[in-house]
Amino acid sequence: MVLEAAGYRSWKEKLRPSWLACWPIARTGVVLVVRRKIFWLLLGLALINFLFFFAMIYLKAQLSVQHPGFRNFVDELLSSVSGKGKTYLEFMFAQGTVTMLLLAFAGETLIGADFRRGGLTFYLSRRITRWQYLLGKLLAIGVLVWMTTTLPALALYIEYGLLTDSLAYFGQNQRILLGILGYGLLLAVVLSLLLFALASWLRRTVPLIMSWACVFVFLPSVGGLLRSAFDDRRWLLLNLWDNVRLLGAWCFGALSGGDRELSVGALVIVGLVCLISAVTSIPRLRATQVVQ
Amino acid sequence: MPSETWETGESSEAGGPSETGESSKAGGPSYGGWRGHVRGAWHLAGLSFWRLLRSRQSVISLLLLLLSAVGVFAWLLRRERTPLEFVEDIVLFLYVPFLLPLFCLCYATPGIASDRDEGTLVYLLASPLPRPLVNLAKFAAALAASLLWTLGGLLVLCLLSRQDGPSVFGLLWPTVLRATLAYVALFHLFSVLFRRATIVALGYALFLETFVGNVPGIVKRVAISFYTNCSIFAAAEPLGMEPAGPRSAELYQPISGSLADSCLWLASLLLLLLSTWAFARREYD
Repeated sequence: MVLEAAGYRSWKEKLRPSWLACWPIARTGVVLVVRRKIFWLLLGLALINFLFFFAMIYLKAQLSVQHPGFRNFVDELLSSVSGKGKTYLEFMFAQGTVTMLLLAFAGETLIGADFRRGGLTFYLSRRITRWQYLLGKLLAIGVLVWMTTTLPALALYIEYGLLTDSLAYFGQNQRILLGILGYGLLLAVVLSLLLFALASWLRRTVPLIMSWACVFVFLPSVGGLLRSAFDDRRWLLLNLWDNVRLLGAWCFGALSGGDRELSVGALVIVGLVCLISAVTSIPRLRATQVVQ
Repeated sequence: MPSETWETGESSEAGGPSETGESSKAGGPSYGGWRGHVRGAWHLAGLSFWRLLRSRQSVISLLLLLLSAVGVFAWLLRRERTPLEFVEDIVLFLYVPFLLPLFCLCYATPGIASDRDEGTLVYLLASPLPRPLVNLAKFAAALAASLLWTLGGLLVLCLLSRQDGPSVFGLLWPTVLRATLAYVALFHLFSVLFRRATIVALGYALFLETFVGNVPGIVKRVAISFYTNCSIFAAAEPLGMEPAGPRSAELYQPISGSLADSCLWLASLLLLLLSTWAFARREYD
């Protein structure tokens, strides 16, 4: 039988490099998540904090223009939106809870479902290596992290600069831009690796959410308890989100004295989490399940 | 024309399901009549309970409890602690905001939502059991599993806190029982209403409760944790407990213990009725 008669045809377009195979996987993953109503609900929650910061920056600019004599008073009153690196660092840190919720949902949809419903077998039966699959999924998670942390922070940075008298703010604060991108990249890498490892291991929503909440809520609580019991700040290193914040503060050049002591420990812990996540994820990426 | 009894699939010569709930002639159980319905619901509740207990969330709950126990043990190392410190540092700081809602969440949200997700809800709805009984059976299973962990977890943590542990447990268990009931009723309602009930419940437990718990005014009264905290303040009064710091009378505006207990009972009842009504009316795809 002639293949053309059955509707098959050869690919006439220009072939793209094979390493780009991760891109359609990432794009499909993001589309899969974006289609769900709950994604928009969670994104709406994430935007509450963004709108608060956005309104504060606007209010500060407006008051400074209308009442120049009150400029210092307004600066003191609205110190959380000083326009320095700390403002954006705190904003991105405060997005933690909603990002955690969004990723808990995305982990099950993007990764857990692939393992449970045979999506992984489908992907790996094509000419896609497991590295491309892994990279595609990590990219999809990274994009979601960027949507709740980095992109809103960039929008606030642009807003702050445009509400001043000139473009000098952008020229004088290039380190902030690097800080936002660096902290965003760090968040995307750490969270995507950890989420992939947990979701590929646990697969179902409830256990995944419980362990995710354990890492981001329970361990910080235990750390706070032990810190006050032993009067030792090193117990705070149990808080992974805060460890990433410390490294983010280094990106912004906003490490305070107390934070500087913990930053090396934070770097070691974050590095170990990434390494263990990557090492434990890769063996689980098989086209067929081995039954013992 | 011979009909078939539910579950056994064997023919009954009575011409329909047995009204008394006695065994049919074929020897299998019959689930017709109210007694049969109750037996069917009891069977479903037992099955769901064991299924919940054998799930992966039990392993993670155990890990959480072990971690908490290690935390309590380390907290006790430096110096002798009073029962009041135990209530303030462990119960109000670790147990009520995190362990209690999470134990309830992991057993209450899969109730209907997991059946819906796995496609087994259609078989449940095709059974001759009335929908309100199906809902009550699922609720009872989730409640039993949650109580096992919430009360058991509290007991373990209290016993770890040395000699006064049993007396502290004696003071706090009624509050934990009521709070568990309220959380399970709420999360079960989420399970009836939403396909992604776990995410919604997590959002409620970790986002909404934390958010409204820290804002001024009476908005915090929409959270179950507020009533749980107020009930604990009243229950731990014999230990010298007083609302202080961020939970002072001016900032937190606590209500009396008896009122908080009544609110928890009432909320549980209303939420359970609401979930039963919603489950009976809803068309699932």
